[in-house]
Amino acid sequence: MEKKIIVSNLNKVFYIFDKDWKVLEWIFTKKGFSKEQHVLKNISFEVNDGEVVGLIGVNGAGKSTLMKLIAGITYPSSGEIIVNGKIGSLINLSAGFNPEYTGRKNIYYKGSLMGMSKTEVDKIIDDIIQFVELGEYFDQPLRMYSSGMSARLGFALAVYSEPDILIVDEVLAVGDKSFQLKSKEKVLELFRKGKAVLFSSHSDGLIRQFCSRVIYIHNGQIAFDGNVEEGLALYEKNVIGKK
Amino acid sequence: MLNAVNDIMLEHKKNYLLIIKLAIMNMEKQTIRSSLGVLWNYFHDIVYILVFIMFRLLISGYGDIMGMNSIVYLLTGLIPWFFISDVLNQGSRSIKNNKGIVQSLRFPIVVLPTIEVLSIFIRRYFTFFILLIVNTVFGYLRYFNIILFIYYMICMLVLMICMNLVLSAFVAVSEDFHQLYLAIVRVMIYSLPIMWSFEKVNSLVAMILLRINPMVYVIMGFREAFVLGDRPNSIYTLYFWVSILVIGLTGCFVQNKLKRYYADFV
Repeated sequence: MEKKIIVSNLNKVFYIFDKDWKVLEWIFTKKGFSKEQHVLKNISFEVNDGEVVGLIGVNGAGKSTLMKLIAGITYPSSGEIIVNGKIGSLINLSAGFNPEYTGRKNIYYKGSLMGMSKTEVDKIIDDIIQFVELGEYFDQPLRMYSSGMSARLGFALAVYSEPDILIVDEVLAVGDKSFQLKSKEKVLELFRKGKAVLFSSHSDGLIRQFCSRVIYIHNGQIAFDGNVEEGLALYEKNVIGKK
Repeated sequence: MLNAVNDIMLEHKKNYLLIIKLAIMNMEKQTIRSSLGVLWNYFHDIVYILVFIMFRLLISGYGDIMGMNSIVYLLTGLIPWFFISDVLNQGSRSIKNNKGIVQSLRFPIVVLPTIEVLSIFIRRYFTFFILLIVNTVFGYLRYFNIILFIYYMICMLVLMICMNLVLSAFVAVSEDFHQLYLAIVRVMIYSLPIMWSFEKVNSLVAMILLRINPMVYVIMGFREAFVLGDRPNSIYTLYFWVSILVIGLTGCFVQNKLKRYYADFV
């Protein structure tokens, strides 16, 4: 089985500056920050083709940072991430849209931001129109949309851009009930096609429904990697234990 | 250092189609909502120009400066300044204002400043026609030197692209810098020979100090291209290109250093 994501000895440090202008000092001298915050420590794991891996952990444990690192949005401080294939990231769905453009134009605009050519978008635009069910809104400026509607657009573009690896950060609760069902179905369909998926959620139900494996992140380290039920149980135990 | 230059150049080369495409789209972005679109920009310019002309006439009267009509003198300086000032104001925010792209998309962030400069250039290009029309009205068209014009256009573009690499990086990561910088930009027009001329500057020290800013080279250059027709002074030309080299190197260094951190800092 082909390995889609290989993460080895990954560390991520955030620099905290107590004074704003010290960032400028830091650029030239590498000094000036008041604190180093280790958000991720020594993370190593692999995701195989067709595997759906759930990421669990409390807020601030480092799940989102890890996903952003794998998606190539931010960079590791040390360690290595190897990604084999095209990544579709469902992180902050409406990012990159322009409120003045119509839905249609935004699909082309964000498509080019994501590195797609016009013909590539042409191929999927009809599917997207059908999927988002926005009707006449699709050709109206995005500022007329509700937040759920623009998230639909973002979701559709990400899933129809035919990624080999899907990174889903807490976004399946997008839109109304009917769209939620539909997006879940669509994601499941991608899962069935054998895409590698990294999926973070606070809903045990979704994790149980989708994932074949969980990674539990605690204080920036992998506390557990393996069976879904065992992982969820450990997570629950840790959270309750704290109280 | 050379690695940084190489990286930034490579990033631009790899994405040149994207840069052009997004520059055109960015240009529409600001004007898509109004019915007159880009024409509003020219309307703003014309109002601005009229106010400047009025003040010029009120303060110093109608007369010649450096052998040319004072209105022509003013406009040949003012119109390149419009482009420069747009880059200084809007271009410098090209990374800061694109938070959505920086924080949630996999995107070569270092090309954002260049995209913004180009889109301002495309939008501003037309103002140079206003200048040509005014020059025609005042009978200066026969002095127009297209080779000098193209040369100074390139100078201006290269200067602003290099400067914007530095500025957009600093503005993105430091709000203190941004505020200080805005204050400087606001008074910068008075330090440039737009409303005054070097004819009246007697002290050699002042003469040199006032020319430190490489924008002076561009603004004086456009006067040569439109009216005076002299070749650029070789020492000042050398200074200009050395300063571009320094600014460009700084820009590449800073961008290369920060490109891994934008998503964390912005």
